[in-house]
Amino acid sequence: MKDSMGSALDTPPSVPTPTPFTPETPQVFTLENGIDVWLLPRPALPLISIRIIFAGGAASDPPHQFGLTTLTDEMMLHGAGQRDATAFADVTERHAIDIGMVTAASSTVLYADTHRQHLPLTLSLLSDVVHRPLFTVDDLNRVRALQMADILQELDTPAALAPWVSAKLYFGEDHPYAHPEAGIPSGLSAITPDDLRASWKKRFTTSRAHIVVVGDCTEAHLKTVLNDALAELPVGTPAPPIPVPRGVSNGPRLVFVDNPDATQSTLRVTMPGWSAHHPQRLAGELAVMALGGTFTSRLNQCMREEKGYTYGASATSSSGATFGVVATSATVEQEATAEGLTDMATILQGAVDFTAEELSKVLSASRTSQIATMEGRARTAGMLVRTSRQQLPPDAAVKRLQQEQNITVENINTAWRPLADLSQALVVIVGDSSAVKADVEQALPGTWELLSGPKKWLLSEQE
Amino acid sequence: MSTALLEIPHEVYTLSNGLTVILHADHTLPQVVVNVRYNVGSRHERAGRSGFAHLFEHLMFMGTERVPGSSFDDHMEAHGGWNNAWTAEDATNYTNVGPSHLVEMLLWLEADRMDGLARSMTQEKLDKQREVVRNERRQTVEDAPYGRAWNALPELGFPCGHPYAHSVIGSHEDLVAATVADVRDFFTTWYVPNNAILTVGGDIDCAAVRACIERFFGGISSRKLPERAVPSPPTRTTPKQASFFDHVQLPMSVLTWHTPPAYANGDATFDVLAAVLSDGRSSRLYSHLIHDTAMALEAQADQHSLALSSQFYIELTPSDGVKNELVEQQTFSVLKDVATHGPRADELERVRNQLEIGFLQRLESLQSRTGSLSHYQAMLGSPASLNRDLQRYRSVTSEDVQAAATALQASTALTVRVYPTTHKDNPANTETLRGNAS
Repeated sequence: MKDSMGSALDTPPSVPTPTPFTPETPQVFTLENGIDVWLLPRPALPLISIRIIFAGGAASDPPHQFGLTTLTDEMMLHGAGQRDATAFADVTERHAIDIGMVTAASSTVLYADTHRQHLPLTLSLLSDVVHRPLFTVDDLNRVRALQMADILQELDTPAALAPWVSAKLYFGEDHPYAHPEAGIPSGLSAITPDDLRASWKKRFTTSRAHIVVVGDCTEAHLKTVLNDALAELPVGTPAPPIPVPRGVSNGPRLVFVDNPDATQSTLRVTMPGWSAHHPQRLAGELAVMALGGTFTSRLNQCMREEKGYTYGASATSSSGATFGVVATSATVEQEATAEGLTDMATILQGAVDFTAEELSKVLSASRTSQIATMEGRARTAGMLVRTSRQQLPPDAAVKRLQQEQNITVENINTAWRPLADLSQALVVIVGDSSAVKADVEQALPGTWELLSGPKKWLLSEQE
Repeated sequence: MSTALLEIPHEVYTLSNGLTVILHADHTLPQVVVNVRYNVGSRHERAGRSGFAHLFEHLMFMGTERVPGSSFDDHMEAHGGWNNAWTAEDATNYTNVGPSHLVEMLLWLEADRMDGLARSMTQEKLDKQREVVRNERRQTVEDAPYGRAWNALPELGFPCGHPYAHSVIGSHEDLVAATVADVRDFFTTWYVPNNAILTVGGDIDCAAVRACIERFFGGISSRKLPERAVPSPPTRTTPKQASFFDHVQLPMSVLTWHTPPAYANGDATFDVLAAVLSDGRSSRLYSHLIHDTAMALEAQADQHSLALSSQFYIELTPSDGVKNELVEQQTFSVLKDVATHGPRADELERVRNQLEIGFLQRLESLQSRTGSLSHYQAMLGSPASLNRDLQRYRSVTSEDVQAAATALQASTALTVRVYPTTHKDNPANTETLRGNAS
C-alpha cells in the first residue's frame, strides 16, 4: 500500500490551463436627478447591497476641525426624519437592515445591506439619512465622546502608530490626508450642530454622488425606488481634487518614534506610488505585490521565513484618482530592529531584477484576487466602490485583466526603478529608542530625527 | 423575515483509512477551496507544551521530502493559489484557495504533508517557526492593548489542569521547551486521516475529484487515536477577581462565566442573550450604559462556544471618570431586568431576524460554505446541519433567555479589570504588563 501511495504522491500533478474568466460588468443607468448608478444583479440569494458614494470625505475637514466629516457622517445615523436615534436604531436592527457610513479621506460611503423584502423600507431610511438628519445636541455629545475614545484607543496600538505618524510626515501637515479620518480631540471638542449641518449640506449633493448596487433586484425596480428616495438632493458643487502630497525629496527621511518598553519595533517605509490613471500603475502594483503582496514575496520570505524575527512583512500600493502611495511594513522583535531595517532597505533597493517567474506568480495572484471580488455582494460592491473612487469606468476590471496580460518583466522593473534609491522614501521606526536607536543609526546611516512623545504630537494641530 | 430552508449542496463519504471527505460543487466562478480540518487543538496539548498545536500549524508549511523548503507556497502561488490556517482550542484548520484548475495541486500538497511532514522535520525548521510564533505572541499579546489580560483569561477562568486552562498561543517558556521529538510525536498522534475532515468546494467535477482524493489520500495509513478524557463541566461557586495594569488609555472590565458546551442545550440561548444585550444600538447594554447614562464607551457580550465548556463574556469600557465597579454593577442590573422580565417580543424578533440574515450571508462565500460543512461535520456529525443549527435559534423562547440571564450572577463571575499604568492603585513595585516578556 505504501509503495502505490508513494508513487501517487511522488510526482506533482500537472496544472492544466486556467478556465477562462471575465469579470461581470455592471449595468449603468442614470437617475432623474443625474446620479449615475452601477447595478450588478445577483438573484441567487434574496440580499441587496447598496453603496452611495459621496466624493469629498475627511479631506473636506476645515483646519482646526479635524474629524468633522467622520462625526457628521456618524451623526446622520443617530436620528433622521421622524425617528430619533433610538427609534432609528430600533427599526433598522429589528428588520436586520445594516445601514452605516464609511468615511474615507476622499469620500463618504453610505451603505445598506438588506433583505430583498425590506428594500422599500431601506430606501426610505436612506432617504431620511441624506435629506433629514436631526443632529441633536445630546446625540452630538455622546457620539463625539465615543469618537474621541476610539482615537485614544487607536493610539495604544503600536501597529497603528506607525501609519499615523507616517501620514502626518509624508503628506505634510497642510495636506488633507495628514490627519486620520476620525480626527483629533482638539478638533472635535468645539464642533456644534451647525458645523454638522454645514458639512452635511456641502457634501450630500447630486454632483458628488454615485451609486453602486449589487444583489437581488432589477434595473427597472431599482430606478423607481432610487428616484423616489433621492429626489430632494440638491445639486451642490463637485468635490475639489485631492492635491498631490509633498512627499520626500533628497531623502530618505529617517524618523525614529520612541515607544518606551515595546518588545517589538514597527518598521514602515512610505513612498510615492501611481495614480489610478498612471500608465505604469498596473506594472507598479505588480512590482509591489512581488515585493510584499504574497506569502512568498521577497519581504516576507526574507524577514519571516528565512530570518524568523517577524510575524509578517508586507507591501501595499494604494491608487487614488490623483496620486498613489506605496507602503512597506513589518513589526520585528526588538533585538532584530537594525537587521530588519537593513533587510527591508536592501530588498527595496535591489528590486530592479524581478524575474519572469515572479511576474507570472503575481499575475496569477492578481487574477485569483479578481475572481474573488466577484464573489458575494459586499465584496463585489466594495470593488465597484473603489473603481468609482478612482474615477475609472465600470468595466475597469475587464480592462485590467486584459492589460495585465501585456505587462512584461521589464515593465515592472522600470516601474520600480525610480523608487529603488529610496530618495523619495520616508522611513519610520516605532520602538524603544533607548534599546535600539543606536543600532538603527548604524544600520542605515543618515540624519535620524527622534520623535519623543508621539501621542502628544499626533494629537496636536498644525501651527 | 421569512427564510426558506437553507442548504449547501454536498456529498459526504469516508475513505477506508477513516478520512471524512465532503464535496460541494458550485460552478458560479472558476475557483476552488480545499479545506482540511484536524480535530486537534490547544486542549490536546500536554502539560509544559502550551502553544504547541499552534506552533505545529506553522510547521506544517515548512516542507517535506517531496515538497522541500518553501515549495508548498511556491507550488501554490505559482498558479494563483494562496492559503491560510488557524488553530483554536478544539481544532486546527488549513484552507487553500485558488483558481479551479489548481484543485489537483492543492489536494496533492495537502496529502503530501498529511503523509510525511514529520519525516523531514529538523531543528532548524522548528527554531525558525518558534521565533515567528514568539513574535506573533509579542505582537498580539505583549504589545497589544489589553493583550496580556485577554491572554490570562483561560488560566484565570478554568480550573488548573483543565484542557482549556491555557491560551492557544501558549507561553514563551513552553514554546522554547518544544523539541523535534515533540513535533514528530504530535504529528504521529493527531495528524492522521481518521482525525481529519477534507472538504473540497467550488468549480469541480466531483467524480474526478473523488478519484484524485482516493489516489492521493487513500494510501495514508490510519492510526488509533488516543482516548480523549472529557473533564467534568467546570463550575464557579464564588466570585473571582483579577486586576492588571497596562499601557492603555482607557480602563476595561471583562466578566466571564462558564456556559454550556457548543451545540448543547442552552448554547444557542446564550448567543441570543448576547445579542439582546449588545448587538446594535437598540440592545440593552448599549441603550443603558452608552446611550442613556453615558457610563460606558463600549459594552459587548459574546458566547464563546467550545466543545467541552463554553465561556460567556461581557466586555466593558467605562467612560472617563467612571469606576469599573460602577459599570459592572449597572451591567448586573441590566442582567437582572432580563432575568426578571425576559426579553420583549420585539427584541427576540430583532435577534432572530439578524441571526437569520447572518445565516444567509454565510452562504455567499465559497470559503464560508466549505468551512460550515466541515464545522458541522466535526461538531454535529453531519455537514447537512445548517437548518438544524438555524432551528436552535428559532426555538429559543423568552423564558429560555430569562433562565440564561438568571445564571449570570455576580457570585459565579470571573471579573478581570485592566487599568492604565497611570492609575492611582498601580503599586509602584508592581511590574507592569508590558515589557516583562521572556
